[in-house]
Amino acid sequence: MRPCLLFVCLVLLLVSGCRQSAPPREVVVYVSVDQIHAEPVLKRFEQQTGIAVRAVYDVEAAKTTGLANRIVAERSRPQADLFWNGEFVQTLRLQAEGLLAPSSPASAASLPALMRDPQGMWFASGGRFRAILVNTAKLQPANRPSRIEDFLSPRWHGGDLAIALPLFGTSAAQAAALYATLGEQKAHDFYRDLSKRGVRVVDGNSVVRDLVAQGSAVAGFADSDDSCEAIASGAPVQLVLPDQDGPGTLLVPGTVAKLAGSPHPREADALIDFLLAPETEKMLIDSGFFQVSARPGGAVSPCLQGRTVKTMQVGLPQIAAELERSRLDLTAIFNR
Amino acid sequence: MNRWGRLATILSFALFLLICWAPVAALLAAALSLPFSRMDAAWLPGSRRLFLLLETLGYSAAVASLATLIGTAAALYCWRRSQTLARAARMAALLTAAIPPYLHALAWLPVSAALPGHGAGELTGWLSAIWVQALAMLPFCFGIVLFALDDLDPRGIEAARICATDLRLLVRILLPLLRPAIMAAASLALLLTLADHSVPSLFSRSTYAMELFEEFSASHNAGQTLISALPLMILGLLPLVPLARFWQKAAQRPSRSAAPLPPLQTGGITALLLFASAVFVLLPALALSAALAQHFDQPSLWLQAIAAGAPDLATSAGVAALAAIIACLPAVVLSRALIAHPRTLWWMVCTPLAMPSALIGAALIWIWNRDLPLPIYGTFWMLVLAALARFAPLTVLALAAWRSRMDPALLEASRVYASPARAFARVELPLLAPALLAGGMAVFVLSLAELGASLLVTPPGRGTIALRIYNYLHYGASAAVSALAFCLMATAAIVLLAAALLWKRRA
Repeated sequence: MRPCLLFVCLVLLLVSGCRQSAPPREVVVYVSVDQIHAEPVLKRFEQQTGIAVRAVYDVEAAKTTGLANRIVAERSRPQADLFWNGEFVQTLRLQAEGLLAPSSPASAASLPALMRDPQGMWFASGGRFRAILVNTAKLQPANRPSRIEDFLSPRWHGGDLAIALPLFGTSAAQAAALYATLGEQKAHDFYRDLSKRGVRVVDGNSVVRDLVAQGSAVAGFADSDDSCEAIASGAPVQLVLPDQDGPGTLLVPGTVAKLAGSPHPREADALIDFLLAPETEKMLIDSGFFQVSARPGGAVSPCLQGRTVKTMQVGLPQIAAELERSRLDLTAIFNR
Repeated sequence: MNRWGRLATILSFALFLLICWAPVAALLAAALSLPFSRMDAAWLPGSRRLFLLLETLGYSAAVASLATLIGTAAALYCWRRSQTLARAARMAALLTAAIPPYLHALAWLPVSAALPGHGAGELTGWLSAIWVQALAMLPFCFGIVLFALDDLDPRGIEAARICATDLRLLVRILLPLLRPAIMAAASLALLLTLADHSVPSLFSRSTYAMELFEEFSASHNAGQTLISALPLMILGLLPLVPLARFWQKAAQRPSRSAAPLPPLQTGGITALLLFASAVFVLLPALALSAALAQHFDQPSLWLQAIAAGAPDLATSAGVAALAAIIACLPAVVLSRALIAHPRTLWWMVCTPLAMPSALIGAALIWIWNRDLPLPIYGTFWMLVLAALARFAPLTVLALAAWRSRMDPALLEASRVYASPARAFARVELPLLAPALLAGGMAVFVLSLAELGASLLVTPPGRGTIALRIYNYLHYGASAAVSALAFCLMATAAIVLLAAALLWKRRA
């Protein structure tokens, strides 16, 4: 009797390992938006449409490149239908490699030209800012940095300032944007001087947030979502949107793109349309992942306290085009 | 050996090589296909990487020293103290061994955050990571030293006690006799810590294993990652030498009866040993209970998290159960071969244990992400393969250790009166059952919490509970993390207790 029972259990386990019994309508999405924020959105889509969502979530440590590389590795046998990215650089990289497919979701109609690809290869959804997080207990209002270039000012000791290594994620996007707007030489000089000053270069934006929140650093470049989280937790910090009297603050929009060779193209279109809808954007702003809509006049996080933000006027493809050059340059500067 | 015996041997070796050595071979193939210039660049670490490697080594050595020190002290205190205490200590070791390092981190993250200088990341982050990882390694160190203590000849110790105080006995006799076991415990802790990146990353510290994970995430080039991993792998192979010595000596000795011996009475030292035991048994339990209880007042959040995590828990349990069953299959034959040829086969069995988990994930992707008759890639089986590649050697070691203590006369006698197949089914297999149970449980518990390789091979729509907890931990110790951690520990505890009951019934 017992061997029979064991055999039945084994067969049940083997059967549970096969995915052939999946429901007929499903969509496979690779998600680099944080799981804690993305999951409720995908659940709502499942409830509304009855389409099962099979998601793979990126992890913090992979710094958004993990899933993009998985898509590249799977190019001969695509597994995923779409890529929902918390930023835009990796999406544009996939576009350059010919791994995206066009789509025309109805909810993308209200997106401005800078926030969508003319061929419909990708669309922006929500956004975060590259902000400066300041410790209010350590710096008086008159003494707080308000421009990125202030990080070179002798007013602060280099070791009191922190940045995330600008080779990954949104800090890499910020570096590429500076290379695009300032020009290669000026941007190179800026990062070289930061390095020379002994500004603390740490492994991620969340580390910068922790350093500033604890007072180990007086200011640092951070993402607005991390900054708002620190404010909400009661840390003595303030979010500064840099260069409002100059070129403006860099907006890092999230992006959604259909993948070439998508196994479930119709379901992918439905999910793209859902993810771009203003209601979904608002859901993500309310949960704290985004601070602002990709649409003019759209929802804004209360964390920004109703401020009107001047954003850096640089095209996303222009930033993505600078990424490789800036990465090579910064690798040398920061000795990676 | 008859025809069927030979076939079983060939199949067992083939299965073991497929699950444990195919990833190594795949990585070598991927590395050899690289242009020489890229090999050179990956192999020669820059100054930053060299520093990171040294930092990782220092961190792992500190963890191994701390865990071995507390584990040895706790084992010395519990040794022959009382039946109840011995049982309680063994049960505590068993249950705490099932707690993955990142769950210990859950308990200590708030403490670390409250320390002055937190976020400075330098010393506080490292100290917190060392403490948490050492707590995770403690049960293994405690278990190895206690096993060695139980194995000592009581007559020699009794004789020494006539002439010397317990303190002298401890310093002059016990500790020298325990040196191989202490070295083995430290080596195991060093080996497991070198390959783990979950704890330091939660305290915002980077290690070489994390660097490998990041490199593979950034390049998706398994060969290049292998070459970058070589310094870490060489360091990982070194601890296998003392482990091999200890294992071979332990396997050769007959088991000793627990002759009555009074416990050690070493004055002030006893208090220290008692303190170490309290650290070992009480501290992790109290810290984890406090962390979990912190969010007990949010039952709706607990229920939501459990509902969301239930499919992941089912996936993890399925993966762990399959890995445990499959790992036992080659172990039956391989363990016999390991007893016969320990010097040759030890390295074949144990080298996969030194592979960093991220490398195993990278290798599995390299092997299976192609057009093959078996469409394994993107399915649940990738997770099973990852767990097997990491932990299958443990069942071979468990069975080999058990076999070395079995009375060979029993097996010989069964072969006189029955066919080899019948003798195997009716005598050898039942005799091996406790070791199969122990080895299988070890694989089950470790696979249930496996993270490093699963991060890379998770199929769409099927996350594991470990992955969910790890992702959530980056947002702090929330009610959701507490609920999921509770579910993971409860599952491991139930399975372990059931196994312990089965073992007891068999005994």
